[in-house]
Amino acid sequence: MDAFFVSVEQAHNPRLKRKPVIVAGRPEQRHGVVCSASYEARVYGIRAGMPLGVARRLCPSAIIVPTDHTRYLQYSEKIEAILQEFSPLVEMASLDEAFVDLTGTERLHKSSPLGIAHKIYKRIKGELSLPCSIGIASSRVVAKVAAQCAKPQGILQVLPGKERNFLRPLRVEKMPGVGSRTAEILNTYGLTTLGDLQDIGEGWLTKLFGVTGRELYLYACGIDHSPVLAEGEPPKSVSRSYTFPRDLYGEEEIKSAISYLCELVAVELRRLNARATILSLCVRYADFETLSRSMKLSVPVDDEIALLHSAIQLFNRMYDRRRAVRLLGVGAGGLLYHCWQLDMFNSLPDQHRRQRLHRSVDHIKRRHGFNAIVHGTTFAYICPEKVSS
Amino acid sequence: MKVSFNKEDLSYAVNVVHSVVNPQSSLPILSNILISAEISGEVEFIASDLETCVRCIINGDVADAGKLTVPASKLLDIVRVVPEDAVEMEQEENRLKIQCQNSTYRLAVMPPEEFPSWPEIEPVTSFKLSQEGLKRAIGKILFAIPLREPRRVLLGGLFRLKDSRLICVGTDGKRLGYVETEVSDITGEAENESIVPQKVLSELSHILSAEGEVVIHFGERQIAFDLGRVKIITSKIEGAYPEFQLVIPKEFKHIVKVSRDVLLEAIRRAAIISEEKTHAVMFKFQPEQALLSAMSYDVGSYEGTMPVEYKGEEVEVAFNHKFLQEIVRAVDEDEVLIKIKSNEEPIIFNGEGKTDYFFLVMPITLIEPQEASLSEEEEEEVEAEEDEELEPEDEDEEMS
Repeated sequence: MDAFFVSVEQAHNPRLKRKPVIVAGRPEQRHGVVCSASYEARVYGIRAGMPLGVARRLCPSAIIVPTDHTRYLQYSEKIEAILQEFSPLVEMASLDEAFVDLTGTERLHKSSPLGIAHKIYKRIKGELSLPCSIGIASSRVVAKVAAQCAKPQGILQVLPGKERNFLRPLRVEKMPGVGSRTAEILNTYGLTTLGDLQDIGEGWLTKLFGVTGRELYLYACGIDHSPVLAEGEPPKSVSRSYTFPRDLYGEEEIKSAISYLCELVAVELRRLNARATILSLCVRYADFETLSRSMKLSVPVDDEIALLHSAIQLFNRMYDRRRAVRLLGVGAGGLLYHCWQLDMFNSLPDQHRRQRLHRSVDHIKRRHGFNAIVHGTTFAYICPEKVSS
Repeated sequence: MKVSFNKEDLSYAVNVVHSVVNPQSSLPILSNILISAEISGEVEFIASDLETCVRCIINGDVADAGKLTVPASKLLDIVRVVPEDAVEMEQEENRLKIQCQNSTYRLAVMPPEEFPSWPEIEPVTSFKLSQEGLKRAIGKILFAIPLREPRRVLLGGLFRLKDSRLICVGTDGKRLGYVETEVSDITGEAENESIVPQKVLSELSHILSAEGEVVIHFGERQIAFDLGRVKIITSKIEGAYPEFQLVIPKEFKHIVKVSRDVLLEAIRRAAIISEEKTHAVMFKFQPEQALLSAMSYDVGSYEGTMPVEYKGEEVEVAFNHKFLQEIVRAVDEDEVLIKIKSNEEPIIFNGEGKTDYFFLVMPITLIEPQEASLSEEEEEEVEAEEDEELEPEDEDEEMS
């Protein structure tokens, strides 16, 4: 999807169309970060991840809209539903990115892959008023790079056999998995394009980066055999992390944010019908130092209160009160499905009551949005002004 | 110090005290054993990790009395390999010479003054029971006590003195062992309890013999076991032990009788295929037989049967086979009774007849995938409820 968050806001409020729009953390707070910028705003040099103050200086006329993750999730689900009409093999890689395996669907759709891509584009644009870009290729990695190159609002097909030539002139940063650090290392050796990687060969890259180097070489040649996974294997862990629109200070505020993340994780655990046996907590301070700790849970849980209880224990072990917190992450691992050991000191009527409560709460959340019903501790994070008053 | 021992006695003493030594201790002296020889012929071996102290007294031919400390692990290694003969120990300045036949060791010693003093306990309650009785009791609870657990009180066994009986309980929340033993010579408070660390119980289970008696003293913060030659003093685990009586079911819907050996073998057969994370083995009890099954997604499946004495309606329960094997092995009688209230509540295992012990095992849940989220029918139900007004009975149900 092109500038997904902004596009969703524009679809919701057409007056924002064709204007420099920035979706960011709460605009009334100085510490906001740009989450997404419209193409009109990008002209001014505004990029995602940029502090809001800098973006404002670059383009004082930009309209700033606060983030609304529930809305983005709803749109993402609608996109997935449209894609599933074209193929059963749809893998949502993130909220705004999906892989669709069209192998063998040409006859069904009476159309070439390019024709199908046009149909998908029209449906998403027509029904959701969202712009998207589509890359078509024989492998995941090339399709992804093609979609990147097609942005905004483009469709790009790389014909089978032409992958190497297509990738050759592109800069190494275009390749998924090559971050600024890897690119910097490659650049010091004079490797700036994917063509350079193709020429230097697998052996050299393996020596430099190990297994990742071999993968990098294959990707640079457009070779990627990984399949598109529809629902695939049940996940081994569930985690939610969040870079806050502004840095968090103070224990109460941080604990409330942890509670929000625990609730997100617990809802997902229950959706998967899974219980977690390991809990991990990740804290990134404003100075980017990142710590993470994990603990084994004595009883398998899918309950936010139990997750929060353990997460707070972990947090107390690693919290440095002199620093502000930029990112928090809560992860539930060692997942058990449909089958777990019961504990005798967790009373059964209590558990049944709790399960009924969860079912009702989850139903309300699905129907009216995640924030429609939350725990008291989480509420302080979602609506701080109401709590303080 | 100059003393000579029978190798067997020395080996016993070093083995007994060695188990509490923590080689990773931050205090170097704690990786040593304190040896003090009295001119009367009694030689005392003491080891400590500050939580637990063990003392063992043996007899030797003491030529010169004295006191010193030597590295525990080295001394243990030495007594393991020296031949069966008299072992002589003699202090030479800051070395301990150990001689046996044609081998001579010289070990570095540390001053005995640095070694922690033997803690004195002021008993609130003391009582006596046979070593055999205590050994049996520990055998019935030790396997259920976890080595790691966030609920600290579960890291030990409960010793509760009540009505002239000692009740011992061990649990990790998933299984529980309970046993009662007759005691005598009670002095002090008639009702008292302590939580004894797992490490001490494990150690006791090795030292206790089939003969003799043991005196147990409960102090304010400590508990002592006096076996005569061997004495152990340990800090109690502080905190309130969970109210285990509340979870013991009183009525049962299903009671199954099965031969202990048949059950053990059946579990062993199913265990081969059980899933690695949960170790689950399914039991379906039917009149006169039980169907056992196990499944592991990437390995395969198992199905089998075993004969049982049972007449009620069919009931399905899943267990962790590891828990079950340990428990069934701890049953003394040839026939095992399995008492089931429901497949979500603790299930009792004990021997046939009136027994002074029992075990509880928590089953593994058997949840069908659709149960946890609202099924389509339920969704419709909720929607219908939302349209209408909530019916009062439903609310009552929520409240109950």
